[in-house]
Amino acid sequence: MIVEPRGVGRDARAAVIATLAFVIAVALLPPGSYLALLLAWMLLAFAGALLGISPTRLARRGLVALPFIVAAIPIVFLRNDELLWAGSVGPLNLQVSGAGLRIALTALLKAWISVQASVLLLALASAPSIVTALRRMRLPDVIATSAGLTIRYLELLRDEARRMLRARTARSASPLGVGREQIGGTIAWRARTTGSLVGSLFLRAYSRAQRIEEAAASRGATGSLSIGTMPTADSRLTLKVVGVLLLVLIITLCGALLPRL
Amino acid sequence: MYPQLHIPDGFLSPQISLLLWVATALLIGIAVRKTSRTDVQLITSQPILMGVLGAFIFAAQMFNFPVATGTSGHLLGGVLAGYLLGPWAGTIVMATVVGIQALLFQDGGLLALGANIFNMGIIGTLGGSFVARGIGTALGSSRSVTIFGAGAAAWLAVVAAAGFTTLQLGLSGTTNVAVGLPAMLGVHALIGIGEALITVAALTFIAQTAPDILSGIASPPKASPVRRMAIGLVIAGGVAMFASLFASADPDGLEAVAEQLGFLNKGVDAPFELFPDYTIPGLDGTASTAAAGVVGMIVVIGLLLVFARIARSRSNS
Amino acid sequence: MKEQHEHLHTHPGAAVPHSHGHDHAHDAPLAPAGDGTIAISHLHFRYPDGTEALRGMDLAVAGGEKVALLGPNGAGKSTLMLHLNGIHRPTHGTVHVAGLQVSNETIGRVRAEVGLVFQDPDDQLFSPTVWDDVAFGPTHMGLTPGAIHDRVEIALAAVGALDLAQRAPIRLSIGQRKRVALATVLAMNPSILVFDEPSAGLDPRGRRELIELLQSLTQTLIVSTHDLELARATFPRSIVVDRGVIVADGSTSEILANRELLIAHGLA
Repeated sequence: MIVEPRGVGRDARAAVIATLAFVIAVALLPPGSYLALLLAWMLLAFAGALLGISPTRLARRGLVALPFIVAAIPIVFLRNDELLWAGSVGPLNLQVSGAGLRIALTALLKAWISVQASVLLLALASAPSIVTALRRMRLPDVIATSAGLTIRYLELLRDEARRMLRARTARSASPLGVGREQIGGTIAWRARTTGSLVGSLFLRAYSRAQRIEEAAASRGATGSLSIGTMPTADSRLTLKVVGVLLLVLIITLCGALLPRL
Repeated sequence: MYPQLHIPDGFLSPQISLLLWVATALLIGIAVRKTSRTDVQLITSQPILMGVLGAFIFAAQMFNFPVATGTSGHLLGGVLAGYLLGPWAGTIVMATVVGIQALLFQDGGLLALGANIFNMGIIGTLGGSFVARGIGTALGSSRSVTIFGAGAAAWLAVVAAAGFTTLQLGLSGTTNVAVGLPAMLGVHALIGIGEALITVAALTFIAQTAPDILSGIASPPKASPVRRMAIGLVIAGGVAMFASLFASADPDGLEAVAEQLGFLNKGVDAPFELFPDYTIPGLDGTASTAAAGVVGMIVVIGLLLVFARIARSRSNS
Repeated sequence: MKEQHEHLHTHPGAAVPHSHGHDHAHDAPLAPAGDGTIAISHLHFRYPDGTEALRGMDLAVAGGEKVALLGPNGAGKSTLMLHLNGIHRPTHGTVHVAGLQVSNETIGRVRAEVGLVFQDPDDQLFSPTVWDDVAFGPTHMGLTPGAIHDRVEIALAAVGALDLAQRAPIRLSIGQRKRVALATVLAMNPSILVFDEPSAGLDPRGRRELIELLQSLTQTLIVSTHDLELARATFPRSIVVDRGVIVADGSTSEILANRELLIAHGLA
């Protein structure tokens, strides 16, 4: 049986730094740098392809950011510069600002691209190894350990919550013929049941935390707690960081040189 | 799903993102120091309890209940976490929750994470917890009073978080504060009711079912009358300031300030305007630009097809 | 997906120099320092909220013995087990494990001598990967990286889970998790193993594999279970606990044949 030599898992620092640098480079692009954004996205799509993710799948994942466009819609209609169109629709006087449109569209594209960068980071390095990498980059122990445990028990507790929700739904009948106000009870009653669910979930979580403490203590843990082994350092880290910085430079230069709309 | 306050990347100007990262780092640093030097029995237990309760918060945020047609109350959980763990540990837990939401679920950006943690973890949790403590101190430390205080603080925390989010977007030039602020504050005033009710109900349930747990980890501190009055005044002052902000959201004023301070999202414009009127040499006029556009599109699509093939072969190996 | 199950026998003390105390344990990965004996005398325990959980227990177990702990829910089995590695301390009476009296001074060595396998493996597997979890114990014992590596390998091999080393605990089946949970305590090289309901939640194949695994272990075994068939198949001696006292202690076959006893104490 072949077991990995000491230093299991991978050093995720390069991946973390690369993602952050990419996101920063994209964020620094001035509004209207659609060509530079396209180039940045192509680079991302290429990286994604190397990881086995097709461009369309990646692009679809990026749509998570779409709903937030609502925040930017007001400036499209309320800014006063570069009016592309002004007129009235019915009783309303409307205008469309080119500057506003540019800002909103750029923001949306940046968000769309940054989400994809995040997705690639996860494809490159598991969440626990990212936490370990951050720990190596001086993230305080308390945060790293706590985050690691949250990640570990996330699905477990969400499953428990789902089961409780399902049980509640199973008992939330709405018989025919009953008046609308009576279905679902008053807000106070509904809040109380939800509160009980949350409260029970908390108590379960608390007991589990106690049992984990006992398990950890049973294996000798006292004082500072450190969970997870540190993988061997990436020997080519500096090289990768330099490569990443070059990439950032390229993207930023494109932002400066390519024509903007 | 939750009060949608997680700002994605690209919506905040780099300056605002940086500023909030600094603020967040400072406050979280204080929180780390406060939770590391501890008077808790088992030193090992603090991070374990925090970690598992982080997962609990995640799970609790799945619970919803309809408040009015179309709006449903979802738990943010900041003040709840603060009540159960204490303000500083609770803040760290909420910060990790927001961080994991950004990392694992792309809920909120990585650069914007500083701002998101500030809004939900610090304003929403630290601020909310102190308000809750303050209310308890001012009105008396019986269990029901502190729970009521937590509820009121929870409402305020949600509204304040929404307000700060909108202000940050406004200062970055990505939203119009005159429209955005009333809308966000209004919606979140409703959502905050759900937050308050669930927080109170959950704490009441825990207090009734397992009071020993609650007194173990969440003990309202006692304070002298002078301290009580002082805290009461601070809270009143804070609320008044906030209310006046709400009332006088003057967009022009805000933008003028932002422009003077250089916050507006102009990107890193000035030093990079090397070639302001750059055109591809040899190509003038709309026809050739259109041709360039078509060629460009073909190149892009071609590349994407190549990428798709690479992806397929990579995922099959 | 059926994992290969390996019969591996850990032989404490075989062909390696005897070690004194576990400071030198990293020299002898397979030789636990203690003798695997348990001696409990007049054990009383009251919880902080006043509940009297244990009301005077006396127990003697020899090194290498396999003992089943039977009794209805709430009888005090779990409480008793938590005394064996010092998580609970007696209100009155004494607890000796592997020749050490459980106290603040000896607690470090006690935890290395007594491995407690909890009922819910998820409580025990709190690290990102299987390897990390099994390495947790040895790491906290302060062993060198080389020794830790060896211990982890040996422990995983002993439970037939070497191929799971890089997996995340969430992705394992319940049977796999139970095996890895055992590996996490085996890595500390204890002379006594204590199990809380090991067969709970296992399907018949999982149960069969568990029985084989338990039969392959040479450490002293104390196993709390509702599974009378498991007790009959694997443990020559049984102890029946009810309401905080030991009501029967003897040969498993005799106890399981005593229908009145079983019914009187909620076992049938």
